[in-house]
Amino acid sequence: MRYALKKLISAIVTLFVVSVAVFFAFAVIPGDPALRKLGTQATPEALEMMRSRMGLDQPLPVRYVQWVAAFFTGDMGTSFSYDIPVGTLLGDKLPVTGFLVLFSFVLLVVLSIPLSIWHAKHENSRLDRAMLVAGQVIMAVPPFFMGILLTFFFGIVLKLFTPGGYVSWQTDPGRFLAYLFWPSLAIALPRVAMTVKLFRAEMLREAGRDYVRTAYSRGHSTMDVLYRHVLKNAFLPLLTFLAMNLTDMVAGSVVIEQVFGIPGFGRFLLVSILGRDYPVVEAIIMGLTAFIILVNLVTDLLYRAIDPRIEEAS
Amino acid sequence: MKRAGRKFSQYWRGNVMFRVGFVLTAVMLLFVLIGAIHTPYPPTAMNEGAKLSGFTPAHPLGTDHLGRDMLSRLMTGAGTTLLIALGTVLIGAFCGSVIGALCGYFGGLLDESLMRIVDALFAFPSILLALLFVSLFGSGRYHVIIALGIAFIPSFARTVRGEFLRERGRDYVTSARLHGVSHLRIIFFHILPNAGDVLLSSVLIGFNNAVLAEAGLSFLGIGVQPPDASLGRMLSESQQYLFKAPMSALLPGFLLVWMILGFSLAGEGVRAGER
Amino acid sequence: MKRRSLLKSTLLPMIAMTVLAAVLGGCAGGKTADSSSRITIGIPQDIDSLDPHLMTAAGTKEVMFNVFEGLVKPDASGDLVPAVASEWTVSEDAMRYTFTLRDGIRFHDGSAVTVGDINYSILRAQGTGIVPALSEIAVVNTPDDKHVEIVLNQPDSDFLCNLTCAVIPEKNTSPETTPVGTGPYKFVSRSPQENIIVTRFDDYWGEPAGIKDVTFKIEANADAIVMDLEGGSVDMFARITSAQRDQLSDKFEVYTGTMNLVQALYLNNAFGPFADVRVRQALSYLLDRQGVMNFVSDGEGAALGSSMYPAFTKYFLPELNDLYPTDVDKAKALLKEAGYDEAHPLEFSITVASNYQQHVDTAQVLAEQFAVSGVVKASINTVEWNTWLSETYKARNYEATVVGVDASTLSATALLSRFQSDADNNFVNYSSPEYDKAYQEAMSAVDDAAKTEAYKKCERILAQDAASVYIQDLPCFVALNKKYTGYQFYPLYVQDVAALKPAE
Repeated sequence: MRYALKKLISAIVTLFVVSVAVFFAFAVIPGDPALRKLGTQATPEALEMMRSRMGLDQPLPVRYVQWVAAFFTGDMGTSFSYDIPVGTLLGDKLPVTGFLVLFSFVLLVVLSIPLSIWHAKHENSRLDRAMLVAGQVIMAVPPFFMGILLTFFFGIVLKLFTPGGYVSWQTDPGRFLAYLFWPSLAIALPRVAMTVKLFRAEMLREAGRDYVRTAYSRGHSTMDVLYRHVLKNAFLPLLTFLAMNLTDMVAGSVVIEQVFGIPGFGRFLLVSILGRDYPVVEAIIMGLTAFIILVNLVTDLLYRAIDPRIEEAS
Repeated sequence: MKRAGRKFSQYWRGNVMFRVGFVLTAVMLLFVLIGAIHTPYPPTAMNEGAKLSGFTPAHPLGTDHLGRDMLSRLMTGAGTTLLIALGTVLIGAFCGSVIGALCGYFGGLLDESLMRIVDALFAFPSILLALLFVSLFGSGRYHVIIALGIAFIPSFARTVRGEFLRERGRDYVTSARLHGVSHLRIIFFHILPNAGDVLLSSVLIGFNNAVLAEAGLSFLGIGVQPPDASLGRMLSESQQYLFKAPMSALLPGFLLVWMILGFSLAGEGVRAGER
Repeated sequence: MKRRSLLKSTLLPMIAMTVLAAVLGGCAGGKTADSSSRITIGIPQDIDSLDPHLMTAAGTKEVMFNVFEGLVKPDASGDLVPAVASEWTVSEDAMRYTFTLRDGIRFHDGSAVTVGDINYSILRAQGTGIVPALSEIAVVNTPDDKHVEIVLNQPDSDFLCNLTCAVIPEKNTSPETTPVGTGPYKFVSRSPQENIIVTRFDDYWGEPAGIKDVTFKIEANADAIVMDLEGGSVDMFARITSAQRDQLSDKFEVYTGTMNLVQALYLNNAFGPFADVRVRQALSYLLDRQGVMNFVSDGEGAALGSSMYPAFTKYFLPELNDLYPTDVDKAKALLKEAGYDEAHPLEFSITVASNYQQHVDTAQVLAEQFAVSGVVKASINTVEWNTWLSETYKARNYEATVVGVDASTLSATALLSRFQSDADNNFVNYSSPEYDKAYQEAMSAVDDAAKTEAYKKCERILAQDAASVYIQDLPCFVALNKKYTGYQFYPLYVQDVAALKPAE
């Protein structure tokens, strides 16, 4: 319990450092949101007015304190470029990135676990080896290149989907999901290869242990041993690995959204940084950071709950 | 030197992965080195007569949408990507090791405060970091190196810190302290060499991640700027002519896969050889 | 046994879901059947505001041209034609403009347009300070419910072009989110970074639009445009590059026009070497316009010799293009006079915004062309657009930059006023008493011929002084799926969607 509390406090401190860093990073980057918004024709007075409307005429520390205070009341500010509350703006896009990541994660689990079990069962068969080699190659494919390959083969050559034909979830949930299948696959595939490799090795190591041999000698069937003992013990490292993947997937979705033309958080992060839309950038980064920290925290705690052998390392 | 040679032959004989990885990497390095000395065409020279020429004797790997020779661009582009990855890992590993060592060795308040900053850095999107540097100091490969280098500090810092946490209680450290050896000396001459193996494998993994990160940033248009070539930049541009000249368009990607595959196989070979 | 069932109970639905999605994915691909009563138009960036009096980006105005109208609006030949006003008169002294409200004209919400709405709209637009020219208005009178009279505080026979500013209903309290205008299309919905959807306004006063539903889709990834056009997710994209044009199949008709901007190597006249007119002229002598066009846009584009582009037929002076024919020896002689030779080359950097591929390419070609002399060494410094805006444009902290300057109104002032010595937006720091005088002449002239002559004088001065190295009006390639036809080029940044119609 003390441990969990300690972790929680350090997570909050981390969030605080991130928020300060982002806020002050923008103070150093050149670029004026008011000028961006009003264009090159605007009079100096109009610019001054816009700056004060955006709150940019205040000193930085004051702006930071105001922002934090508002943040705690659930008000994330108003987007400079859209004049829409950031909460509304991003709330609309949350399902996009959310589903993309979730879908990738589901694909990862669905593809990697059965495959690993198959590999473990058919250890050293010809197909096992061939697929391991293939896996090794797939692992080396960067997700965005995987995206381009999928677009090329399935979109352009086989015409299974329309490149760039993203449909919003409000318009048509079915086609929305159908389109997300490909980017999710692009994110998941290289990770499936990694997971299979790790899980297979883990299972084979467990399978070599004494207790498994004992189980065999007692006359249990292969399947039984595999599911009841091996899988159970190989599950723990897998859990951490999958959680690690989850956070990586969130970060990786930025580039994939660009390849497939999906207007999710990644697109907004990129556009808002380039457009100096600080409130949006702050909100996205805080959200992503919080998510990553949360996943790490939960994994850490789960890990301890499942396996009490783990000592307090720090 | 002799030790390295022995290790090498041990790995070489030991496993297939290392052999394949080593050959792939060696070919890649040779390709880049030749590119650094000589390319068939200047990599930025445009030839309007030969846009997307396809594979011809004059341009064995074809040309891009501006008529630039693909082979020449791949040679220098791969070089840029490698250079950035190398710089990134060097900065990340050096700074990360120092921070990790100090945190792990001294612990306490220093550890707490430094590690919170490291955690924050870990969560900070590398895109923003890169943009910060590019905006502040102008664009170019060196700024990408610095930005990514900083982004890579956390993972090294965490690894090294973990090692130091484990090692600092060991007998040899205690006895060195009793002999009056200074803290810094203990850190860098007694403990750090023991963390060498862990650091080496982190460097190999980090190298691959750096290649990926550079390609990703350049793909988003924040990394290397035109007319410079990098594999990520080329891959992004290649989407334009995926229809007309798919083979030329996919080449930078395949080269990227080759590069990453080579390193990861060699890296795994090293680790397998250690066991 | 428990573990096993758990695995199965979670894994199986997941597998089912995956398969389902894959099947759906397969189906969606085949669903391209498409009635030509709708069209998807790709636009390069999201619109900056839905409020017509706050929008500034050219990319926004060209889209919302279809939704909003002013008292007058531009047509494809570059003339101002009646819109909300059915006719107008201008007083002798060019200080009083009187408009007659069009009979029976309605807003998208069904309400009738009143003179009060016009008064409200003009004053509102004036208040935002985004169009500086509107500050010339002294007062807006509404003598009766059919007429609006605009009185200026100085004579300006060119003022009409500023009255394209949108007329919106006074009672609409949220023009930022629910825009209402009088154009041929009415606003339906908008999703940031995704699309803007408009539909035909059936009560439109003029020719009804040819296509019913229009989606403007934001294409954030410029590299994916060809793929999206060919794949069928976008039917039209204005301003594709020549390289992209070469990629398109014969499913597309490519219309070729010009972008209507002055692309130049703008020289910061306050930067040491460029204060010397000989240096500026030398650079002009080193320029090979056709060479630039050949590399950047397959040889297409319109050569320019001053700050004016050909679409302004009335003002454009083609002879200025030949003021500085490419002549390396002459350039070297001028540079020598100015104190530069092989041993002491002229060195400067060209700042260019990385998001404008044509400008980046042009800068690269220019550097090569200048290098031929052996005396000029230009390096290229790519910066991100916002940095360019604040550092280069606003702070004027640069040496040379390649950019395109466009006109926001159908008036020569849009391209010439900025070169007055004390203009707010004189980002090249050009300073010439002679120019200021010529420009004032143009401003005060009421007679059209005299005004035109004065504008031409301004152009000549800019060219002779080589204020900048004028290059070209970039070609504009518009890709339109052959299912549609009727695309029209305007001399302004405008996409007239109402003119499009399904091909027979």
